[in-house]
Amino acid sequence: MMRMQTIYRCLVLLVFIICLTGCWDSIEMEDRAFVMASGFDLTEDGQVEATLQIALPTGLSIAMQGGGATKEPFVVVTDKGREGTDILQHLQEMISRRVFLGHRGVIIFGEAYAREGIDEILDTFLRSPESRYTTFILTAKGVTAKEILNTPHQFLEEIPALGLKKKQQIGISLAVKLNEFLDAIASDGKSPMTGVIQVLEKKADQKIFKLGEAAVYQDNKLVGFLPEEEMKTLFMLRGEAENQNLTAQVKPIEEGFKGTMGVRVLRSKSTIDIQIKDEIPEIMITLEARVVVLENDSKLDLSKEKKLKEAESKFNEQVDQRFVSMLEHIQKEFKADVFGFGNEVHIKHPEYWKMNKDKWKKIYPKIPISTRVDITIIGIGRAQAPPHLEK
Amino acid sequence: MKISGIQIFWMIAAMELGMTLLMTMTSSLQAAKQDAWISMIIAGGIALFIAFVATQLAVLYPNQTLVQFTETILGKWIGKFVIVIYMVQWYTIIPIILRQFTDLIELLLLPSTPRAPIVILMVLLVVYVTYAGGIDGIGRCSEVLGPIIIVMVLLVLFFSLNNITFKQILPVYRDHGIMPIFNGALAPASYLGHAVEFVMLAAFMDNPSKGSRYVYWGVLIANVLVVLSTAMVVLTIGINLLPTMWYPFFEMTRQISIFAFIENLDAIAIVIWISSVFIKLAIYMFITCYGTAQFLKIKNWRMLIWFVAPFVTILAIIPRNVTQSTTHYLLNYWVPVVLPINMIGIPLLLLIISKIQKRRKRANLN
Repeated sequence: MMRMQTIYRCLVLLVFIICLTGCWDSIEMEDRAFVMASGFDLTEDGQVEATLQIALPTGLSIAMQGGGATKEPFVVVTDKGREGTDILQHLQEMISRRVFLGHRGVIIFGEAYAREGIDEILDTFLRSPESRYTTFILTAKGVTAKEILNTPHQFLEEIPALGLKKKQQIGISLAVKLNEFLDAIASDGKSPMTGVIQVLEKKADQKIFKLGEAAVYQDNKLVGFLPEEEMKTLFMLRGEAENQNLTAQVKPIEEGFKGTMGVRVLRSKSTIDIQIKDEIPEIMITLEARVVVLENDSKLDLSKEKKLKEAESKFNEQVDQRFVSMLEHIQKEFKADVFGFGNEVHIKHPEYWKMNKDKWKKIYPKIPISTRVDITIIGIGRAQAPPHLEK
Repeated sequence: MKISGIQIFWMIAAMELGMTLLMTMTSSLQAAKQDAWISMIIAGGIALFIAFVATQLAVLYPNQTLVQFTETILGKWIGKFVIVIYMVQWYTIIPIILRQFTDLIELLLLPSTPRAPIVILMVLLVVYVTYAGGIDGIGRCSEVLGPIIIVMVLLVLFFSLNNITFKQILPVYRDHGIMPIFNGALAPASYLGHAVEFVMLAAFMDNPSKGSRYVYWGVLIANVLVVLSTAMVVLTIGINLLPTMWYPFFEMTRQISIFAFIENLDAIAIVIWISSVFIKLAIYMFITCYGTAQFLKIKNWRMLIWFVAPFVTILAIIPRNVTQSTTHYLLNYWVPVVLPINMIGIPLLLLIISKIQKRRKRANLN
């Protein structure tokens, strides 16, 4: 009996020892290439060109020491191929370490590629276990993804991709994560959109990334861009407009005054009412926002109630104009339901939605939408009237 | 070997929670979409009924397991036939769970590792606890792992709160009507109905009549957490992407991001999964060995481990892909056969027959 027990225990120990010598699957840190960002562009012959920006852990300390060669702490590889798996193999063949996508912060679609349709690589995002939903998606405007990923470091971040990711996390510009993007693509009642990245050249060798517009997609193709001012009204519609700044012309231009006023949004809300009339939904939207005044270059003395109301009504008017213009863009020009009015119809009128969801793309551009904007100024800062206002 | 009521509670809660969460959500979501959480409530109701029948039955024959009292109720040959039906269930569920476990590990953690070592390692672990600990060893393991599982599930749910879009669970009910919701309840009911194994475990309790309370609580706690998790999964991921995902709970865990700092919490879900699988496999391994021993009138049930373990290991490696092991088994055997027959039908039948027999005996004595 004792013999049996001892033999048994030795066997168990042996099994454990064999297993502890190392798994089939472990890859050392030094053998991994950490991809911080991927970019996808269209080549002239219609192939997909993928670019990876890979962080160099050792490169970070070299760059910080400064001195001699200004080596960038990242490396960029590019290659083209037919579709995702094809390209991935090509790229892996160029690097001495295993490509690891788990830390990828940003995916950039080049404008030409996005307009063509991004389906080749779309499925890999969902299926591959390494892919993270917290990755942000951006569309490049006026520049290819490859150029963006090759641009050296911005002001405070060593690795540009990390800088991009942080900018998106701050959230002032439209930041769409992979899961939101995929969800909109998979949804009948919503169209996807992403933030837009552009490159400004301040000086010859110093380039800065600018985020701020929105890229509107229909299914998996890019159909257009929304300018920044209209994008802000979309934020208000989504109830996400905190920290956005709005400006309006509250008074005509006069001697010494431009007549503009700038406010910052504290809270925003939208109320959407949908009625079905003659087989088509009719939508009534009310945008509400509570704002504080940041800057006043007009003769309005905001300590007086009447003047405050005057400013508010001017804001309502002008924001409403931009709102209507935005709606026209997304509804009539792009025909893309980026807000998700389809989803709203689904929730409020499920029976109608069940019957009509296949026709939603045709119905959506025809829907009459009436709007109302209600902005309340709840704070005017430390001063009452501008310093250059004569009493 | 004696087990206490609390151990019963933890055993049932632990084995039901992890498996139901990770395995059955997909079929409910495909059937009932955003109303899947209602399906889960219905599933809980069905499972509580199963628990009721099982505890009532077990109480009538304290100190006897299902194998023993079935022969008493139905006679030798019919009784043996009924036991064989249960044996089919036990002998096949172990390899299937092993296979599902291995598939998940392979997908998420160790893609190039061959399947056999993963299966063998888990089997060795289960064999060890069954051999050295018996059912009370397993009970004690559940007392330790059970609270860990529950805490981990609650953590995941709590951290996912800021990923919620409330609208995604709307419209409630109006999209579907009762039939799809009920269809979605069947698969989770069949997993929560594992409480029926109480008919094998009750014999080891000091006071089986008190045991029913613990069984109900085990099923209830597991069910509440599953309902919450299903609702959370719909609220965070949304029904557009969900039906195509194999492991929704896991995907929700991957999306957790607090202050952009606490991220990539896959490890928590893995812990829940492995602990729950371990407890379930251990319980079933014990039941299979002990039950087969009683059936064949073998004294030393531990000897059967040397037969059952290799058998299930080999069976676990055979199916060729994940569709075979998960979907086919679930849809073609477990839900249509095991749920109505093994979990509901036979226990109910046994209960009714034995109540009639007891009444007749009393009448005869009078």
